[in-house]
Amino acid sequence: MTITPSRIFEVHEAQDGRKRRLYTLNAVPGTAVYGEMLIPTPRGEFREWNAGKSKLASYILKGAQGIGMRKGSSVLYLGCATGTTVSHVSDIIGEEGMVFAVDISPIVMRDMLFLAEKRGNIIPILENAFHVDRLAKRISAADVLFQDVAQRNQVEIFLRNADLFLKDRGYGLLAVKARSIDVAAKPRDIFKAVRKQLEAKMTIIDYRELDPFQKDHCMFMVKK
Amino acid sequence: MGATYLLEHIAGCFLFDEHLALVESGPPEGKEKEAFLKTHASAVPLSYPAHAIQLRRALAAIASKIPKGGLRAANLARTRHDVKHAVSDDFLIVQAVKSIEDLDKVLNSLAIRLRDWYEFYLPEYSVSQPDHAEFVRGVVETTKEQFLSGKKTDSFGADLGKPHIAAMKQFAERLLGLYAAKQELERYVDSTMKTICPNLRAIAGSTLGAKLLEHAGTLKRLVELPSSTVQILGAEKALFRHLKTGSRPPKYGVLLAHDAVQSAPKGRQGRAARILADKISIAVRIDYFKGQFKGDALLEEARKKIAQ
Ligand SMILES: C[S@@+](CC[C@H](N)C(=O)[O-])C[C@H]1O[C@@H](n2cnc3c(N)ncnc32)[C@H](O)[C@@H]1O
Repeated sequence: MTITPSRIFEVHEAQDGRKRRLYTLNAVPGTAVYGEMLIPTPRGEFREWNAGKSKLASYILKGAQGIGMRKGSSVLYLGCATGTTVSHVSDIIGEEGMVFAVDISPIVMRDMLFLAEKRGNIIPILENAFHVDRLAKRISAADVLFQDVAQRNQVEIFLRNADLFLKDRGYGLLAVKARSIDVAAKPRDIFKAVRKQLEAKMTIIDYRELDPFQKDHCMFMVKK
Repeated sequence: MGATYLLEHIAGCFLFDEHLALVESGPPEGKEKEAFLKTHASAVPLSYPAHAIQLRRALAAIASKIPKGGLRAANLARTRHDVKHAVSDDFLIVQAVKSIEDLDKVLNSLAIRLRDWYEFYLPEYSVSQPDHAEFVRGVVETTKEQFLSGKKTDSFGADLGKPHIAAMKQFAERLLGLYAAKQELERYVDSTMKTICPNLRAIAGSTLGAKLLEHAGTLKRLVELPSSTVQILGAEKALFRHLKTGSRPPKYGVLLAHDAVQSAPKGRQGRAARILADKISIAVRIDYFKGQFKGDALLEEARKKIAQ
């Protein structure tokens, strides 16, 4: 199995039988974050990026052309949880970049704090992402907005944050979980409704459903 | 100078002119900050949503100016502080209740294991004592001879050597320790419930009340739930099935264990749960806003209404 650069900046891949696997170069060699595989190579240590646990990885495996991030990017990440995905974002953007990792739950923020202490480009923030007035006192404008909060009002949260914090021509990624908006409706109908809400304010440049990695989830990519 | 707008930020105080160009920055906290703010008292503090447009431009203007290290250090310190102070008694109760539930599961399977084991030695005793905790106590405290004395027939369990019996007894003693741990936790939950939600405790009992807290996550969230949701807390799976497939909606969740619901006639238990949930919603509101104790009266009202 050989690991080669993928078409996404700083993301690497390997074909393992019929499975495609993703990797990032571990910024903290020797340390796994969520039990993922570490693979030492002459180019550095790769960390496997598990699509079953990360919607951003699923999005890439489902054929994304880009995720808007590269070395040095600043990222506003809403709904960071314990930092599974944030850890890979941290690998991607490197020392020059920074990721504001926001979550409302003090319980998940404990793990996030330990992660941030090991990685100098993570800025952890315990806050409700809906309260952009409070976030405005904690962060600066970002090149990329990523959101995965699984909340009923997630589109409103996304639009507010994009409006205030996303730089012009910046990219936004919105992960949508159908069940968190309406458990009874058909996921496709929910995704359609979200598309409408987004289109009213921003330009959608990509859309992908994330099954089989995450059932009834999709990702929207927008440009400001 | 002529600064027009002010942004009070964790990384510092920033002053902007009317075109939102950064003109000056000041310290993020302390006396120096206050002095700085005083000097620039005429600048308009940027707020959301009133100054959404200006705020957006101000944040873009400072993006390249704020040193990352300082921004990170300030946020890290603030988040550490926030996490530390986010711990409230209801988080602790929820963990204690989960521990009790875990102990219940573990004790149940360990007691069944001990029965299977002990029945090689004295099957008649296991059969005569259906209560797990009492059975375990008996294994520790009673000998085969004591159990059989006065019985007409001998046991058909094997006569085992001392080391075999000792192993079972020692294991049973550990289980007794776990039963004791469970009781201690229950006392802890009860006394904590008494302090943080006396009204909920009075109307639902401390175990059931704590379970409601567990399902809602926090007292605040329990307060925010409509009572129709409180009625079915703990029946989320059935609710989901109902919404997805149109099966019958659940009528109660953990509230089924309440004696006011238990003692209602079968077809009217859903109604009883609804009435009880109404009163529980009132009770948790009183607890959350630290109002006058009314829990006993609420329970009485619920019982009367259910009986009507
Ligand atoms: C599905 S998890 C995110 C998983 C994470 N993105 C990953 O891939 O590792 C959703 C998270 O959003 C958080 N969340 C929900 N509502 C929020 C809000 N209003 N503001 C900030 N975080 C929120 C939850 O606490 C939870 O940790």
